[in-house]
Amino acid sequence: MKNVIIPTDFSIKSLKLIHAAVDRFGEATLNITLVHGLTPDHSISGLLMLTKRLDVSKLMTEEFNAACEVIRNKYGTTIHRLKIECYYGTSRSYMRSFLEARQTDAIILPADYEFKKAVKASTDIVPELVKAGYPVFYETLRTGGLQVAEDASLSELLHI
Amino acid sequence: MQPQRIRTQLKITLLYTGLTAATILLLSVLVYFFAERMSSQDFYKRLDIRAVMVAQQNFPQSAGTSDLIKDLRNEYLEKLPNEKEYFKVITPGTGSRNIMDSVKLPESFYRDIFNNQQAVYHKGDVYYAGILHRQNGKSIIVVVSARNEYIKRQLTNLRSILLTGFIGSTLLIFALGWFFSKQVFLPIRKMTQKVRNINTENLHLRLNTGKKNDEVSDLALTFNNMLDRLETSFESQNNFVSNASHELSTPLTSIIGEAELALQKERSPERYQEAMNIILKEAERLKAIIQSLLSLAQTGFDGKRQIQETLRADELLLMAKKSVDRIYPDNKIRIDYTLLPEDDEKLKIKGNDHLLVLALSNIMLNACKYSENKEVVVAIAASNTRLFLIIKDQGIGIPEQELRYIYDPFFRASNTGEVKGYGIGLPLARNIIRLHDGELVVSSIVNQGTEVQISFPIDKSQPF
Repeated sequence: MKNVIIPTDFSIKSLKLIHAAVDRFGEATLNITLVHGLTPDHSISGLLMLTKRLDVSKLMTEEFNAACEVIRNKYGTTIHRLKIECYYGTSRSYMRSFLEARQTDAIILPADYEFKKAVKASTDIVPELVKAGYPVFYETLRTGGLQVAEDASLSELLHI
Repeated sequence: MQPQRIRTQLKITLLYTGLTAATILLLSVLVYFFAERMSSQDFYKRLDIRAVMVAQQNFPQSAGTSDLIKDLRNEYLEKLPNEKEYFKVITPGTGSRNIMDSVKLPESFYRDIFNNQQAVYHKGDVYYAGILHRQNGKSIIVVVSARNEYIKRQLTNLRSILLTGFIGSTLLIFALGWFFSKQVFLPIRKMTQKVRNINTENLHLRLNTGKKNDEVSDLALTFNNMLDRLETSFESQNNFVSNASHELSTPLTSIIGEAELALQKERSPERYQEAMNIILKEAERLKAIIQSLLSLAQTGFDGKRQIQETLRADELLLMAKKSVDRIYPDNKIRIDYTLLPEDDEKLKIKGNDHLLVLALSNIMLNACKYSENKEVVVAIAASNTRLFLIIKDQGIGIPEQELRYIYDPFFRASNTGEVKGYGIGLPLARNIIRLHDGELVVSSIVNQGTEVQISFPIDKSQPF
């Protein structure tokens, strides 16, 4: 059992990193955690309602969920669990304990893709992930192919 | 229909009136009942006081009080109508039956007196109140009776007020209800009038939906949507006939022209052979058009009679590819299994295999045809509830503003150029996919490629 951390920006394209993770660690079963970074909201309403978190739930569109399910079904025996988490930290030590709590074995990062800012409060957690001291693997997404449909198409998961 | 409407209106009014009248009636009965109880209780209290006084007057506790009480009574207590007083000394051994000789009172009255020291009773509008008085070890029953004329007058008055009120308000409610239901049905009546004016000549007319977001405007909106669909199908039927006759006459014209040319004079056998070949090719084209028209008609109208069986989507894809191979032996269709689910239960869909293969092969054929035989990728994927098929080519694409016409029979995009086709394949495929509760999404960029995404609900009913 390996615990793999993969950052996500809720685009279907970024889910391709899961392919890469399975290619690399395919012999073991995997617990994959998709992490999205958010700046914590310090206002009273933000603390009470967790409004930014709600913003993110809007980002998890029907297509994104369908794409997650497609991947789950594709790697039914390899992927033991696929879950999505939000990361609210701002310091390196917080990141380290976040990763420690999830018993992280590896972090997968894209070599040829820049994560987009999904919502205004999104943060780029890639630098912190790199510095956290856990094994980091860079994978190519092979996104060179031609994009015909809009971003929310399942075909983005294909290697074309 | 006029009478029908009136009947509904009357029904609603009557129902409304009935409900309200019943409520008022219940309220009136309650008011009457409590008023009666209140006033008889009041009267019994007055009789009680008199009974006590009678007892004290005739059997005083101490000498001298008798006259005092008599004076008090005469001075301050009004004589009630038909007021009578009775008393009797009880000796041990007296039963509880007909103790008083001069007045007939029920047995329960005496029993109440013995048990509670007091009792009340009324017969018609004559009221009786009795007490048990004790003096020097003697027990005396004292009963005072009087006719309650106040209560009679008051209650009659109340009864007539309530009755008049009930009848009056029922009439008022009926009138209001009639007006109210008329108001309710007004928009519907208007709508009926408007709909009656719409016929095949002016299908473009629409109902006024208004700005309100209520049930009536909802109904109007639904009507308008239905009219939209009607108009579209009407128009596409009209276009269909003209397009179909055009498509059918083109090969016929070439057949006739070629035959006439060949028959004009004697020709060499090679020339005849050439002519016959052209005629054969055109006749085959004609046959293909007619066949696809037939299947289009079948899928369009006969949908409910198709046999539904559980199928595996990957097998369907292979079958469709095979039928494409027959037409384009050197096609470059690649079936991409990168997203294929591990669990083949997720590949099951319900449907008719012939129709689905026809639909898939039509879409795959289009992909090959309009991409100068570049690579076509066909992928299969499954979420937990839906099965996805993605067919992606690198062909000429479809201009954006023409995307919405691609499902019209015989419509061909402006950039198809030399590529032969009849414009039936995609409408046919869409009809079939719709029959299977599927969805068809086409996205395209001109000169870059087209992506068709089909999704079907996964059949979870029974295992293979």
